[in-house]
Amino acid sequence: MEKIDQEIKNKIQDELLATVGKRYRKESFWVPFLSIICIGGTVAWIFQLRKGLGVTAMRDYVSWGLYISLLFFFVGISLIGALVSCVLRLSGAKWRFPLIRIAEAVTLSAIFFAGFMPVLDMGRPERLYYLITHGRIQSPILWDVMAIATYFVGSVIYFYLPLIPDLATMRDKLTDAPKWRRTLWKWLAMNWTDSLIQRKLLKKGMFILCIVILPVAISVHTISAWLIAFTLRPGWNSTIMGPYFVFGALMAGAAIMILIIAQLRIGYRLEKYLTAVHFNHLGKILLALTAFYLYLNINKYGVPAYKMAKDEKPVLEDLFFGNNSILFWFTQIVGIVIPIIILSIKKLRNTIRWVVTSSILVLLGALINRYLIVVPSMLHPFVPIRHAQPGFGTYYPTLTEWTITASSLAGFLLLTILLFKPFPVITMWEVTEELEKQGEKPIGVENILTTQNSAYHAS
Amino acid sequence: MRVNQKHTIILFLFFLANTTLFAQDEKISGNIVLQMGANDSMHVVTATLTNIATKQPVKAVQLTFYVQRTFGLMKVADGTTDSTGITSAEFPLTIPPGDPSGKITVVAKVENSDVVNDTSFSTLATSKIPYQQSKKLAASIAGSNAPLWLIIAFTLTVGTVWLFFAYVLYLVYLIKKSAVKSIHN
Repeated sequence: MEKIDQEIKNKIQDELLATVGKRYRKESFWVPFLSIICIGGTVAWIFQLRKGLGVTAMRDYVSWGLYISLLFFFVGISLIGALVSCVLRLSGAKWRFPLIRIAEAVTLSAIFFAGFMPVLDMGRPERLYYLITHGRIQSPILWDVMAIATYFVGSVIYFYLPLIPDLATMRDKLTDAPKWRRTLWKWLAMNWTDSLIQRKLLKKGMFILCIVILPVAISVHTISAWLIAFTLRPGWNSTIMGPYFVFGALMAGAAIMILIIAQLRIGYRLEKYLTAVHFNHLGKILLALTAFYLYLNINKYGVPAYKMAKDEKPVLEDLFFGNNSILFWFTQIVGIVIPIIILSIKKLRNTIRWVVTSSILVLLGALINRYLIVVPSMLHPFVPIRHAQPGFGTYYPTLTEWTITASSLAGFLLLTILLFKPFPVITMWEVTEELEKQGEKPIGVENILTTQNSAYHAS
Repeated sequence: MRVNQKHTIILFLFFLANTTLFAQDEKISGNIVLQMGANDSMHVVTATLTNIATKQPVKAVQLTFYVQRTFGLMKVADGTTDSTGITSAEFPLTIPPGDPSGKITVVAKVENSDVVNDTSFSTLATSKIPYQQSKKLAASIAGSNAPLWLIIAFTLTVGTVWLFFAYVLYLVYLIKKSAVKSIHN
């Protein structure tokens, strides 16, 4: 592949740098809207802190509700960073390059809120300190906190590393930016001069982190699964929980990745860089993961249902025919089967709209599924609930819980949007480098080198 | 309308009758004297209930006996006072003491009696079995008595990952340093 003309390189940089600090399309609606929900959630949390967890519907039996369900959801979608940055890197998929930073930003936001959810679930959050002073190494809760903290730090480093050359470009090119920004970019760019030795060091660091972060990412979700799998409760007492959580997480992560790149593509006018090729590839991944998740669901629910053991029966009946049956069948049919059908049809998979539709269904199903993993099992303990006080044997989340839950989801989206404000959405140097090596097709971009040729012709 | 008026009058009369009855039926204040003893297998507690005002024994009042435990009172026996105001009850000698001095706090209560106001008195008894200092729960990351294999596995796994993080940050430092070198050169 011939070298790209400097003029074209500059053009790529200009196009991608144009997203820095640029107002996202419809931002004037989304940012205030999400901020208002976040403020509402903060007020609700203060109310909860003042009045205690009694303002939620959580009681002795259902002590984990929406908050912990959302913890599992956030931990799940945080795995997308590992999928795009590590799995696709190790599999040699070139089309991943325009997606890496987006995946890492989603990971960062998700893991931040994943760490925040247990704090919301605590009636006395200041007691988090006791986890350090009185934590027991035998407890999966301690492992989970450690794994989330480790994954968060690793994700911050992994977000930062590929940013270094881009920060240097911003330092050199965006000279009309406010002084504090230029100072920050200069400081973070680590005197990057794009020398051979610097590139070598950077790539070495990225490769090491890519290898290290993958088991950390898997462990985060496996340990979250162990939080419930190590507990003797119907529905939870299963060895399949680890892989069930990990693949459910990858599926939800792929779905949210599709939705976010669909938004960024339109919002920042990145149609040339985030193309139908990326949606098609991600659609295939989503199809494979959803199909495998269906297989895991058959094992998780089908095998105990065949045996209908005495202890498992109430939970399964609740899910199949009881109060939670509508939600359960929704997750199975609308959240899994229908997306599989849509994505199996090549014609539909090649259409961005259908891939996005499937992702919405998968994500909705995944969100509800986390709730169904947590709550029905808590409502059906081994010792049946008898003569419980009103409100103790059921779980209907209160307005406070809904508000805090909605604000956490809004906060996640807001943080993801804000993470793209100070940095380019797409890794400039990697895309340029791969364009030079591979050309447009393997990395899935369109009409960039064509412009170069026309520029040659024009000259 | 007439029916309502009738009801009001009946209710008023009922109220008057009740207040009169209760006024005649005032409860007395009682005093309980507790005496501890023991036989071969049981502690024996004897309680004498008297009227504080008249110093006369109060008969036919139920007393409940408790032993103080860490998080509340444990009911051990109950009994009704005889004509001399005395009742006694027994509870096992095997009840462990509640404090390092080897004492048991025994509480006698009059609760919900029609005759005597709610009253509570306590006394100390010496336990026949020694006080066992409860083991302090080892709960801290460093000293939670975790199995050695778990400590090693946990420390090695987490430590290795963090070491790699530190090494990657060192590489970032080298990136900066290499640029400084090339600038000086």
